[in-house]
Amino acid sequence: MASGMIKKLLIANRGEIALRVIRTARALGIQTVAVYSQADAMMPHVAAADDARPIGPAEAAQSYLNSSAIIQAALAAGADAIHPGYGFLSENADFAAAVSSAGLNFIGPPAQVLAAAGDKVGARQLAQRVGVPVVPGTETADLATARNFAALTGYPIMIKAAAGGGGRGIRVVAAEAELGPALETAAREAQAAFNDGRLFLERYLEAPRHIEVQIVGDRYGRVVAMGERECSLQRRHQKIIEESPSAGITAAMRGAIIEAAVALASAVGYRNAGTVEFLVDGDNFYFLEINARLQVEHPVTELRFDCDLVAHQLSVAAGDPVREPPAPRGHAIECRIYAEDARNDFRPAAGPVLYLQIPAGPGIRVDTFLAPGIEIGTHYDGLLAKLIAYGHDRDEARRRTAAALDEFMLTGVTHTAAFLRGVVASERFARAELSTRFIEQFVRQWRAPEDSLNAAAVLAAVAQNAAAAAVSRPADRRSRSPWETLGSINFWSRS
Amino acid sequence: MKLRELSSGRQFDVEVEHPGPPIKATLDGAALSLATRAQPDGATIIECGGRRLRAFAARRGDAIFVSVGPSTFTFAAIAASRGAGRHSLATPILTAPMPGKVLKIMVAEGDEVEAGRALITMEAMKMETTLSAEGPARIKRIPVSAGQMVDAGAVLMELSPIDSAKPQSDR
Repeated sequence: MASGMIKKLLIANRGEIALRVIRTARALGIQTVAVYSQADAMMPHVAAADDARPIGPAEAAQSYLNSSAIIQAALAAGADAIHPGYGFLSENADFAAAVSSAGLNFIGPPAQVLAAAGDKVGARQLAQRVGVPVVPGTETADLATARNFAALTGYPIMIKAAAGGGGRGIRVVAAEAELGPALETAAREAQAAFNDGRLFLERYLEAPRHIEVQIVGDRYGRVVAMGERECSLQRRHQKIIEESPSAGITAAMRGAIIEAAVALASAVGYRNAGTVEFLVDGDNFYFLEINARLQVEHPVTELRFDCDLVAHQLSVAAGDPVREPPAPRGHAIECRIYAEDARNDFRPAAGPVLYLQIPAGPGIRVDTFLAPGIEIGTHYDGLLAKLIAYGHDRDEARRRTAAALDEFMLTGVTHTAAFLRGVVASERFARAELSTRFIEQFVRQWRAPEDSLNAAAVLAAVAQNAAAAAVSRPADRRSRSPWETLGSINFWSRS
Repeated sequence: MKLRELSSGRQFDVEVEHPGPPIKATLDGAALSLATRAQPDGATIIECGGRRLRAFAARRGDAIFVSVGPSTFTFAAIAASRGAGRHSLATPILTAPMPGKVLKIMVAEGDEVEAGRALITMEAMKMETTLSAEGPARIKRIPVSAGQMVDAGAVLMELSPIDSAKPQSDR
């Protein structure tokens, strides 16, 4: 496998994570190569890199998931390493193996670790071998096994895909009558989505907390932990607000969870940055899965440990030993702003970036690829921006988050900033009464501010009038903001 | 003018008497004054619910995008009695609730459907949404085909209600 100093790094990703990796590389004096699909030619990550290569059409399967096109681009550009970001090919063992065979350094765990972490049943068995508790369940899911298991624990139970993970391939069964059909559908879906129809079962936990541990391992067998993150706030099994430390676990449980994470990562021979996920239910914690990549929410850890995890990744990939992290301090909260409609079941949204205001100020970091003039499409994940706030304690981080969300403005794409503002400002969030059910409960009683909606209707009418007036003046057909025209009182007398 | 807010489906009747500042308007019959202060970047500062918020509004195609602080709203003008694009309740239009791909069309032009019959399935970000008939209707026109990418608000289907005594509600 390739090692040594990295001189030119290809980033096999897009969006905010591509930009984020490019920034670290640039600071380290490493040249960067961006890749892009036809839909992304005008995206900021393409302009930010030293070199950029097209890899295919908009469909991810033919571009960002196209291993050979990406490896070809890396070789053609003279890159010596590939950073996969998160999602796409980041946890694909075959891709990692192909990158290594091409003589390139894969910035992530080796293929065999990716394969072990990707097999959720295998990871479950490994956890049990090293004495880490798992959610009560079975490693097979034929109808007879499922019936017996359900009879033992009671409904609901969860059906999970062995090759799933990250919230994908999960199905909750509430009653015996649904069990047979649910198993069949789940197997079919898993086969279609992951090319692996194997399933396993777990007891359904009513309202657990989701706690995960950041780990970094080196090639000398050393694994260090960098604290935990609480990621209980989710919609559709996908995280939207994360924080560190967790306000919901005791010091004793934190110690036990971190110890379990390191034991598991060591047992699997983990290298590079990764995350071990757990569910906490009352006084018990259970291993969930290993995410063998840099996580979306890694900045939460970076703010508490005052570090750069991408720099750590590049360093251990180049053969350096992992360093003992400094003591963490303060509290960090991340809010993920998605192109989604929180008032309509988080339906995906798209559109042009017509206006943009990115928050700033003490303790505020925003990781985003948003830029005025770009179009947000629906080909890829809808994450627009991550707003991360640091404070000396949770309360300060929370107040800074709310104030910064008030400052966030993006016109042209429906997004979740106002909803996140509602969550962060709520009493329940302030009291840290979090669970994976929080968002589905909160969204039911959340409304867009009525005053803002009424004001928006009036502003929309003004914009509509201004646009109609502009059309009647052939000399000025350019689409403009009504405020340019409103600023000039003469406008109306001229038209 | 009549505006529809796409997320809530709520309709607003707004008449702008003076574009400001301050904006003088009637909103659903009630007089309203909105203090505004134009900003050099095209935004404006408004007084809203006792707070000062930055706002921005712009039209793109048939959609009017408005931000009030972190809140986003998208409006569509419900055309009055002028020119093309006029849709009376007698010709209900099924529009795309989100940008995405037309996955499947379950009916054909000329078909008669009952209330609740699934008409068309859209996909965006691997999430499927099926739109159904709100009342008994005949399918007049289907200007899209399976596999096509469409914008939010794009016309997917034109229907004529069979029982005109029960006009379909505008969704």
